[in-house]
Amino acid sequence: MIVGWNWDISWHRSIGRDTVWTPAHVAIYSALAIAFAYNAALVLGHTFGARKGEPALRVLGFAGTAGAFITLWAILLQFAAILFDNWWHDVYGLDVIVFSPPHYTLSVAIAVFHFGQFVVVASYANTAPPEQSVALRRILLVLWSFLIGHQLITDYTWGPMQVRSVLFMATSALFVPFSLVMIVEYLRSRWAGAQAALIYALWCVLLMQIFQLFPASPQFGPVYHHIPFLLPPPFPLLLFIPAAAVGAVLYRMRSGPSWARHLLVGLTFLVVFTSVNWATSALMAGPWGDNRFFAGGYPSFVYTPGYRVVTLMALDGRTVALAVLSVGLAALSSWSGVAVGRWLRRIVR
Amino acid sequence: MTATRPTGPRRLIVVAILGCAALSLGHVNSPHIFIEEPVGPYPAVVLVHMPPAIPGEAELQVRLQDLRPDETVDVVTRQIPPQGEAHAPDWMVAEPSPVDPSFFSAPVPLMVHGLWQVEVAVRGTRGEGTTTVPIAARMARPRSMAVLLSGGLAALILLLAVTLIQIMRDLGRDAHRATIESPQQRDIRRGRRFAVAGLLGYALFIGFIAVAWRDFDGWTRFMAARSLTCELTVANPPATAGRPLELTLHVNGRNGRPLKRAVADHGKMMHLIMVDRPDAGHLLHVHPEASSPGEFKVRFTPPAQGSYLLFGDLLLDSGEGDTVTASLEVGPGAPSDEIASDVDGSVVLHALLDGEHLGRPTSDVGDGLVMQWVDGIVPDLKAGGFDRLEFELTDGAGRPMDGIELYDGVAALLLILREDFEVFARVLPTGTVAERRISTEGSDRLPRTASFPYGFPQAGLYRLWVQMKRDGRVYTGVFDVRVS
Repeated sequence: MIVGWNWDISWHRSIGRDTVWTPAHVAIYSALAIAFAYNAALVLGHTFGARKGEPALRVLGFAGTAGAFITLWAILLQFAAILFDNWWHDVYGLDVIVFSPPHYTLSVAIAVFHFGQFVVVASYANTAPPEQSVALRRILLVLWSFLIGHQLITDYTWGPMQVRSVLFMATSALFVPFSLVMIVEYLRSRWAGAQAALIYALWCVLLMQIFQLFPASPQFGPVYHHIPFLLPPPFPLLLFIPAAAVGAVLYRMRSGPSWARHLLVGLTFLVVFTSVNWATSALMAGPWGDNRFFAGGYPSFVYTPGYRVVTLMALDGRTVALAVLSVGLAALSSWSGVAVGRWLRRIVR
Repeated sequence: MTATRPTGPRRLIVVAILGCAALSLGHVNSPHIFIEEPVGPYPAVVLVHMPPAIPGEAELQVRLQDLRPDETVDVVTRQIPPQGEAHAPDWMVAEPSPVDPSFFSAPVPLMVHGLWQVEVAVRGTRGEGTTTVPIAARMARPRSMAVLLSGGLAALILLLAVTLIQIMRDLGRDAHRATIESPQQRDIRRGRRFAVAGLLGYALFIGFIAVAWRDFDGWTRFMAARSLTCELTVANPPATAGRPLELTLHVNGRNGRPLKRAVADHGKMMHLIMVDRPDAGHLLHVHPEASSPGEFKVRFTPPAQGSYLLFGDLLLDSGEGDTVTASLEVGPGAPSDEIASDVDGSVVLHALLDGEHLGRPTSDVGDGLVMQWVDGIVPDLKAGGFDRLEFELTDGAGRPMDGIELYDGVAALLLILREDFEVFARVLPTGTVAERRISTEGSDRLPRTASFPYGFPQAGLYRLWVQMKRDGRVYTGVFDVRVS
């Protein structure tokens, strides 16, 4: 799934024109088909098969595990989003913008899908024998890195400098701390968030290098940039640094009041995340980033030369107000991460 | 597009002078492009099937007319966006049809609004040639969702809501319990809280999607509405039958100001077609004069009481054609023979749509002459395809007449209107693109057969008017056809 979506985005940025049966689409269909088959089998097994009568959730008369139902629900939502998206293309035109109502729906469905797959393994891991715990922990970290990677798929229009915008700061504060804190709480490990974020960075770099091996050329105009290979995803955000800071604060503040703990986590996240992004964006947008490893100078062919224009944060009243709001959002996100992490530890069905 | 100057005894009659790479004769809801002209040494018909929305992917088709079975040709295409040739992608090979080697097709993605140029090159044993097809990519007014799809999506949204409530309820109530014993009260309460939270989140998400959709739709409608607008004024009301009227069409550009960018199309600043509703019994084809920017004046005497729909075809300096529409209500009065001040004006008083002309291959045009479908057969017409509509001006015995003269700069003209007045097209022998250069090599006379490449966009009952000029008089044949 994660390869398919990154491939598809790269296809749109490099080639532009696509059909129902592009390799990227086939990868996505395959992932959906496999996930549907596996999770449907889980449900059918609990409803009619050998596991009938075991503790399970019940939905529309079917019995199954929590993760299976969440995943199947996400696949149904993706199906609705794809129907909506096809109609959208007929009426409003093909994709030229990343964000449209069908794409929002699709994005939420993919996030729920990744969460569902995590829950499938988590509910098993919660009752698995101890000798499997190391392997299961690794699998859970990899699965969670997929959700983190999906969260950080950003609007390429603005290029590397977008991380300096107030909007990016606020939306990141709302979603990212949840992911970092949830995995820390669930695995009871202060470095789990950093590990998942590092795995995300590693597979992202791997995809970047693989994609660039394949030749590609734009199939529609206007063509503003001629880059003769499949454009890689952007260089991953160095999320493992704020993740490590968040994990450390979360553990140090374990005995303190909950509101202070999450407020401090939110503040830590915002300061470290923004600082790291500020520094890396300078690298990516400069000559050091203009190479195959960092791929900072590879805009999509459709972007006009001024594509990096973005309203940067300025030290003014508006930014300060939004920063304060972002700390609050990050604190809320952290609180929900802890709540979901604790709840996940108890799941056995 | 290539053309050569006449040399020696061979004569080349250029019947339409290429001012610029112009396109799109007047049309309403007839978006597809049809061109019939040679591409180098290869006579060809080029079709562009436009997508329902922009950005979208048009389909370009090239039909080589007289390709011999032993001939091998390659057809390649290239799209030049409105931003210019420097931003064009590479040439793309058009795929030949597996069943018809003279038929080629290629996708044409039109990803930005504006005037595109698609170059088509044909290379083979006879040599090579290139032509350019101009395509205006305009934002379309969004259509409503079909009932079946909206019903299906509504059912999916409901199913998702119901299953989400059940999943969330069980996640809160049962997911943590390892046994199948009945849940305790606190589990049940937690399950309810989870279900409410899930439903609330879902409702917020659906609401967010609805608001984002409404905003985008509003923006699209606003942008699509930024087209040429036309207001009709009558200088000497009231408008009654038989009374000469001084009409002025005030045309505003997309910026809302009087249009300054109109240029002559075949020597006329505007081709104005007037048809009475709902019968389409009267047709008037006149040419208003541009009195000042955005103002087009014409003197017109309504032949009868009724409601008239006006289609005004304009050519802009960008090469883009456009059609404005207006309506005129005419009250009862005395009939008059005077029609318009324009010398090329024409009027036809004929039977109602779906009346005596339906399916008839001939149409009496006066002076003992008859306009008829070639071979006297009305072809079987289907929507969405390609047809070559061929007509002749004949004497009473069915013999084609010589001495056809230029009318509106071309050998013949075809006007097409669907019965609901929602589809209108003005078609030339070269197709639906304005100001194309055509030639009749080796002859000093215009062809006796008028041939029009066209494809009906939708099914329905259509009225066709074919206009040809001879001995200084415009003859108009009327044909009604049903397109399946």
